[in-house]
Amino acid sequence: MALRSVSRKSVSLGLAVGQVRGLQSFSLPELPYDYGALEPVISGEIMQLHHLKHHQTYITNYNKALEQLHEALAKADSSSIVQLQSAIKFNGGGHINHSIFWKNLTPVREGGGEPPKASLGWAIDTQFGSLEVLIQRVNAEGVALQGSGWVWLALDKELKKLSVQTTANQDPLVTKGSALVPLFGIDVWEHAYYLQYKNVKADYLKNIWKVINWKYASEVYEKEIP
Amino acid sequence: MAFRPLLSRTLGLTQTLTHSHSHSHTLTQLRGLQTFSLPDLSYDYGALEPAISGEIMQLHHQKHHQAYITNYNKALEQLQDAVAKGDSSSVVKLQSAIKFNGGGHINHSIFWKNLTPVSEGGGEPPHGSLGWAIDTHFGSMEALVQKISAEGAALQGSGWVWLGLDKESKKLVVDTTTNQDPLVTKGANLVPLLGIDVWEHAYYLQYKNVRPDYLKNIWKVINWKYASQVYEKECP
Repeated sequence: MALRSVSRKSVSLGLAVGQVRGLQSFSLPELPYDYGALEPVISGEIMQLHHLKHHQTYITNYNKALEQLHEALAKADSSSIVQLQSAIKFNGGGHINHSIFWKNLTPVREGGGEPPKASLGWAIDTQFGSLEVLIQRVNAEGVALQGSGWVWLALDKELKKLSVQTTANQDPLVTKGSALVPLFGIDVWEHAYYLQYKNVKADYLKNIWKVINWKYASEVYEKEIP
Repeated sequence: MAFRPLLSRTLGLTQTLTHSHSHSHTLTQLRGLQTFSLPDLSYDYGALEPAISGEIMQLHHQKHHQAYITNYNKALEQLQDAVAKGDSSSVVKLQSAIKFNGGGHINHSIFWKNLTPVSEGGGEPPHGSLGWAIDTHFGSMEALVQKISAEGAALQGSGWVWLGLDKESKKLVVDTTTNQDPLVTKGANLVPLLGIDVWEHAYYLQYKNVRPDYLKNIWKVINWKYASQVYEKECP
């Protein structure tokens, strides 16, 4: 299934000085697998709501906030520009994070859960001791996260080091460090698991590894560390 | 249904001595450690239907609230040890768990009292002084409901939306808190009259992503009698 492109540039006509500025509007990327393809790990019901409702809402609200920003910039209305940052961070972050998340998951028959080999596998063993240790770390951080947020396997592209990070709400990983590149993120907002796992976040985290797309994580890693 | 006490005092050892022993200059203190327990709801789990499902009420009470209490008790025990050892690093580190789990216990204990079945007056608007104060501060009950619902819907992530009373200025306020922060973290003088949990666990099984529908319907089971009691205690 082809991915619709994440952004579509639409050009708006210019102003008195003849500048033509584009306003990008974003659209929901398609999943490269069916909603039910990650079962029994993540139910089709969750995948559909998560994609069509939650992610779509972030995109809708992000586009709206960017449009309002566009107007506020044109008017040099600093009060509005600054006020809009919260909506942009939250909804833009929601779009960024979920776009990554769909690529971090893949059905078992497409390699979901198959451990990373090559350089990422080696880096994990070197820096964490083993994949099992890394998994325990990620799960512990995910369980301990207070409120809504994400848990990440991050690569510091300058130090060439892996780390486990968490972010609150829809803050993207880069808010924890400008050199951090997400190899994968796990959504631990309640909407990501509640319909199936109820309050037992730990079970969701235990099971999600069966559908983690380590191939994609390796690609991202090898791009930064060729 | 009787309330189990909100907290039951279990004394670790005997009570604190206030005078040092005549043969020693060392003050011997024996401290009690309070443990908290899950308060009973004063209505059945299904009694708030169709506004809030019985499934949600049961999970919310027996799993979520209980977990906050369990973890709060554990953190307080660890705090007691750390204080006894003079281990400031641990004392400070524990504050996050205490704030989160203690806050969760505080907030949910209030929440169960903020709700009541329709048959017990749920949804009946406040009369008396609180009703008057709402009209004065917000224009009308409808305006207040709109304000709280809007703030609740707009809250990013997990948190609570509150109708609070500033007991110093005697003014009503609508405010939100993040995660399990109690209302008092927004102002030492703020007293919660009514809190609405907008964590996804509070509504997701029934309302899915549509938090505004949860906020629209919850008013049918809000216990304004209780809110009025709290208000009248602060503003007699």
